[in-house]
Amino acid sequence: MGTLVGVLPGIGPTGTIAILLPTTFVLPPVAGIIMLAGIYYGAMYGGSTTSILVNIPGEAASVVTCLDGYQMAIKGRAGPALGISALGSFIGGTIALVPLMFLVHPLAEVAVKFGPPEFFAIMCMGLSLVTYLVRGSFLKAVIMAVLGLFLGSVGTDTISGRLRFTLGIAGLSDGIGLVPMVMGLFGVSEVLTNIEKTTKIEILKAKIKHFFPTLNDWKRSIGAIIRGTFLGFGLGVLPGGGSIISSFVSYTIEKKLSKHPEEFGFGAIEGVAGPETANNAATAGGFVPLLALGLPPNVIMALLLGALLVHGVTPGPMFISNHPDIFWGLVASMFLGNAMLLILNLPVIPLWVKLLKVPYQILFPLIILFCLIGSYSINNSIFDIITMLAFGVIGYVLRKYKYEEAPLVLAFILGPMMEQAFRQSLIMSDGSLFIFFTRPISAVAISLSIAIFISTGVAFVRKPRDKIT
Amino acid sequence: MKEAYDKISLSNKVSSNLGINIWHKKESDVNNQNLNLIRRKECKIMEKKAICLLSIISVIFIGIASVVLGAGEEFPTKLIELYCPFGAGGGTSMGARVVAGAASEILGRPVVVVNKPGASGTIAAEYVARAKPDGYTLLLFNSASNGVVPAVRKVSYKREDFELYGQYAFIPMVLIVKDDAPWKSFEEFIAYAKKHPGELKAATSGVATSSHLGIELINRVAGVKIVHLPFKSGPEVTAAILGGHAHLGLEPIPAQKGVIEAGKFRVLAQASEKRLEEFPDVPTFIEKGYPELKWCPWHGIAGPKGVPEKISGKLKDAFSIAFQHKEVVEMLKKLGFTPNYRSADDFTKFVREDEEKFSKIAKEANIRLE
Repeated sequence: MGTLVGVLPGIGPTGTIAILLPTTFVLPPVAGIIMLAGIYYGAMYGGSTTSILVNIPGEAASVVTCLDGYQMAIKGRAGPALGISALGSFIGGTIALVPLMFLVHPLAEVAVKFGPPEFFAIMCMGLSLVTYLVRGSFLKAVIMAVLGLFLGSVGTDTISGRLRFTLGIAGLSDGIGLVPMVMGLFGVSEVLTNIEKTTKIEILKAKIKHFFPTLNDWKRSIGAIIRGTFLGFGLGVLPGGGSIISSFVSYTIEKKLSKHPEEFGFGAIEGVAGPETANNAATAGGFVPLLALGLPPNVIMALLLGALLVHGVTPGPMFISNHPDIFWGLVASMFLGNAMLLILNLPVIPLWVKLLKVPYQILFPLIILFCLIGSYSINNSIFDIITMLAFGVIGYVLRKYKYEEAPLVLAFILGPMMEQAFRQSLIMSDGSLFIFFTRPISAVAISLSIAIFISTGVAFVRKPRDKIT
Repeated sequence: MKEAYDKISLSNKVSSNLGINIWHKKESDVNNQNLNLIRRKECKIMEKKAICLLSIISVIFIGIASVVLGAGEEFPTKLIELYCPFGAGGGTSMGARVVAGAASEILGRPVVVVNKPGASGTIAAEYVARAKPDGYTLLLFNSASNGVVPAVRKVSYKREDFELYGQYAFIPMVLIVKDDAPWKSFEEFIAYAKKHPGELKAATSGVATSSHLGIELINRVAGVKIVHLPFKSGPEVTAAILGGHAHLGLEPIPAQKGVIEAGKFRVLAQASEKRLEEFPDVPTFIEKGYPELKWCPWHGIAGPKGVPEKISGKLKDAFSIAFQHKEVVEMLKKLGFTPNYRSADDFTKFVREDEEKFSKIAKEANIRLE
């Protein structure tokens, strides 16, 4: 029954769970937890709908979905995009439950082995993949990544606690908000660009061929879905890892492996299927540290943890043996929740697609309105609205000059995390850089990223073309 | 009066909790309606118009009603906002919701928790300090945004900007190491730390948090040198100690309870004044000869200075009942707090003393963030 609430698309997970939390006080623990988990699941899917239809990532993890999902919608293929993301989410979410069921404890043991040096090494790999995100100029992508790194360093430095680049503005002391930023960069700037050209409306109206993925779509996506599942789950398990990175990494892998890399960024279905699957599998993976160790990997999980506490259940290593009923109830609810998501979402796809027929002059004020409300409600902060609008304008200018937003966002997310992990590692090793090479996991990851970096560099030097695919 | 309130049944309280939620939903989660709005477009235009008209009418009615009612009746005549300086879902926010639920029952109007996180809680604190002193804007007054942070960073408010209505809880802190650590007792640990200055790394949940200042306090009074390894949150600290990336932590119990109960963490000492029920065998720092190491973050309620005495008196009374209510105490315990009631005057005095302590450590350890 909780899943029903959660499945309503577009209800932000954190807010919903926070609101419904006290209602679960009255319910028996199992029902309460299941309800919250259901909401979480449902909401994770909801984010992709807006990404595909109107290019607004409802949450950070959906940024990647915008890249190709929205392009598909423009080409009249919103239906297959929505369909594949629903099916991919279902498959990813379901398969990921199997290791969750049987390997919670061993997985958690491995997960805590990932300390700051390992995280740093993995993020190096992530950042070296940035070039694959690009569809246009390589140089411009690097400029955007550097800009992203800079923007990411705004705010309080975790290690020293000092404020950087805040210009004395209190609202900046926690850094620039990710969600207002991506809403501005993607959603608002899209609207601004579209107001200019009236022809766009015609394209959207043009032809909506299929509501559901075709056989060919399936052939192209299935590999992406399977890879996304494992990737997402693996990264989701790491405490502090999570869905954002997994969706970026999945996208780059699909692009690298694809037979049609040139289609990426212009509506490649694999580019929707992989990241969406990874995103949902990471959600399931996130339950591993929560259930095995009591470590919530994100705010929403922290809320679930709170719910458990209120019911007198202490999450931790003893959780599964002390409360098997809750554990299995949760697992069952995740299976059910995934199935419900699919059942409830597939029939409404034609409805969503029809929405695109709404004339743009009516649609765009609404889009702006959602963005405004959405960015305000995260922290009840006007400052977030200003941030979003500012990035809307920045995004518009960037678009005009054909700079892409995705490398900026990736660098913005990874930059601060990398810096923190790097400096933490150095504190751990009393200043020795060898810590990255003496620990096996980080040694492998660092070597790999150096290899990627060199190979891209060689390719760039040998064939100094503008585009590396 | 108190006995009467004690009789409030659980179901009553829960339903009031639900009431708050509905309020809260209306206020802060409007964004989530964005898709509903899209869907609404699908509805017939007539229907939409009707809905619009209805909602406008109802808003006008509510407005008129509140003005009319407000004229004659006593405080409170409308809902009261309790600003929580930290995000929804954190322990602080959940404690606030428990207290707010009980206070709504007593005051007869909903007390709504509004999460306004950011800048270590200083944004909400500043907001309430500057709010109209009419008793309708309250702050979850806590040792982070109103104790530690002002000690290390320039903030635009001071304690004198607030009027305190009382304290409801402490957050107990413990010194933890991994289960396979070589130190079985606090003495062994200190002896090792003394012999190996700079070798031990303490994971903390960030610079200038109570766990960081606590570690600096240990360094000071015990004459050791433990290196501070900052992370961003409590769970990250747990993972770092579990994975062997840091040696120890001085952490609030709620977040670490499960791991401690499973025997993966060894508790060497506790920073409370007395031994806690949960850890009857673990000594306090005070017992070990460090009376300065009494280190307990606190939570209470405050409002802006200048609220008319009649109203502030009413709030003080209401919160003193709420804070001591049996079910509130029970619920706070479940959440990992140590319920501890202090009256408005006692709390004010206590906060003043703690403030001095914070500034002293921050100054001596040279923790200054600008």
